[in-house]
Amino acid sequence: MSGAEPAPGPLGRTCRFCFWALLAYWGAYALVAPVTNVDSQMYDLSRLTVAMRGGLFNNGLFTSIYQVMWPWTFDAVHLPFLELGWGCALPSFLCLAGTCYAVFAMTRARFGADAAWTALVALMALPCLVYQATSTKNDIPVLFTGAVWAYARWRWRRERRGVHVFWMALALGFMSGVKTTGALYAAILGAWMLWGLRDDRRLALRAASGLALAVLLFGSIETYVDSARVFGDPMGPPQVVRELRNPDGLRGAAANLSRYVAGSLYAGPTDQLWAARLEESIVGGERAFLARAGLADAGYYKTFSDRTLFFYQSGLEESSGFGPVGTIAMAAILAAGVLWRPRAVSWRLAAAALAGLLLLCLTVAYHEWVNRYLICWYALGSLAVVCALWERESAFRRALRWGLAALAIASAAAAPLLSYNRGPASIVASLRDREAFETSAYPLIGRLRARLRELRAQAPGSTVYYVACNDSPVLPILEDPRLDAVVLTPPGFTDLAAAGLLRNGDLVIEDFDTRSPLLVKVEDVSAPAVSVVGARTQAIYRIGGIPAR
Amino acid sequence: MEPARGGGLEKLLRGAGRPENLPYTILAVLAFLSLSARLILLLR
Repeated sequence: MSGAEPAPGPLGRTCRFCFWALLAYWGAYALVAPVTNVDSQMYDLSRLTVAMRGGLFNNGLFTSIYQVMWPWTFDAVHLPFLELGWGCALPSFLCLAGTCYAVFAMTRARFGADAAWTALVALMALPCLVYQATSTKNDIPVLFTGAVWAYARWRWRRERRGVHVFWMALALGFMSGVKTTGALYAAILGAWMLWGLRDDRRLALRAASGLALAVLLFGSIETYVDSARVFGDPMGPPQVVRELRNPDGLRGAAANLSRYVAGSLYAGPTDQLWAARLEESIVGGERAFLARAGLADAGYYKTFSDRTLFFYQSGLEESSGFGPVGTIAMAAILAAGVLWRPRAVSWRLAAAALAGLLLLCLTVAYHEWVNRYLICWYALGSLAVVCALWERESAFRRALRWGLAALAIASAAAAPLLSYNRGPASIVASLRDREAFETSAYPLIGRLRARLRELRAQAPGSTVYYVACNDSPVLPILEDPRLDAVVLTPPGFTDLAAAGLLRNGDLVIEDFDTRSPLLVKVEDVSAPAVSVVGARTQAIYRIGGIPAR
Repeated sequence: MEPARGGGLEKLLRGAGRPENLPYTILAVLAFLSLSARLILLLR
């Protein structure tokens, strides 16, 4: 990231140093970290292992409806890393690196090197964004493909070379296949792209054909086809899809927007008691506001309500907020709704973020794990803040630039340190105690795995069965060669029992109560709470009581 | 930004190695990995 443009000043140099240090740290983490994300262990990546065993279509081994119904274009990228056992977070990290380059190039060309380096540090200061960029979930590629699309469009407008239109189309094709909301955004950006090319009909036609081909190749068409075969609906089981959508229309959208705004307020790391109390008072205020506005419980996913509402500003990848820079970014996003400055780059970025945020509020049901859906809008909001500080020159603005940079550097440095599985000790743990670290977000499955190994060693030849339900983190068990476990759904287990294929002494764990009379409890295994989904107890059973033949 | 010279593959590699094409190169790598992995899984 260098060029013929003027060298950065002290602010730019400070931010440049911090950015490279942070990028190197996160790169090292992405290189060594195992798959720690619970969603990935449940469906995103576990379905690759399952598909390796039985393909995609007519595969009776799938344990979760999400393994079948969600698009998998980005998940599939992880296959070689999963086989290798290393570098599973590298694709997400590459998405971060590519996004940073696109942001840097466009910001430097418009506002200079100081603004560009500050913009990069501001991005790194969004905890949820960097956690997603060192994870295996499919949210960061939506941001990345959006950044590539914007970068290619920017270069097309400067250079007028058709190759950039090709990259715009490829970016949208890939975006459409990484997740369902990505398909929605890709459709909007695709229409925007074609509208921008309307003066050159030949090129527009080629772009439309390229876009269609890109969607065909990268839109994860096969998962929609499989979903239609399995559930009778390409989007998935209609009941599940209904539950995931905002059920209350505009009322739900207003309530969701209010929750996202309240959730953006940073009151310190929630792990600290004082900050947790402040956070609780924000939650209480938000709850009271929603009740007074007649929006109580509107817009929620089925199992959540305002009674369970919480905001996390902590190191939890699944539900972390966006830190103090995120609070400022949200203020800029909301300001775009009341100020009209269409000529200012900062306003356009903030307005785009507001439009995206409103679309999300309207379409997706609220729950605390939706935070990762917001990374695009917070990134745009942060960039809007940086641009706003560089759009005019004044002593006050120059002071504010240093203030923002200092806050961003402190937040960016704190992001790994405040996380329970992203700090320097986690890099060491990834190398020294990899298996325990792999299940750090769901310790119970790690303890079960360890105990099952011991029990199986005591009874060589026994088979381990894992009767999984929709939310079972099956990947750590599936990938363990020492267990060589058979992972199956409750009907599969019942069929196996009916066919007489179970043997006395076989080991069973179940996330779904099969109520099989053949199961004899060996022991309960418990694990302490680390994450909000981590505290559970589970029984290990042996098969018993099958009469000898 | 001069256009890359040379044969097809050389041109491609030179283009991919240019810093300004980094986002494109990353997208191309991810697209290649995705397509090949999905083909492998579909053909199983």
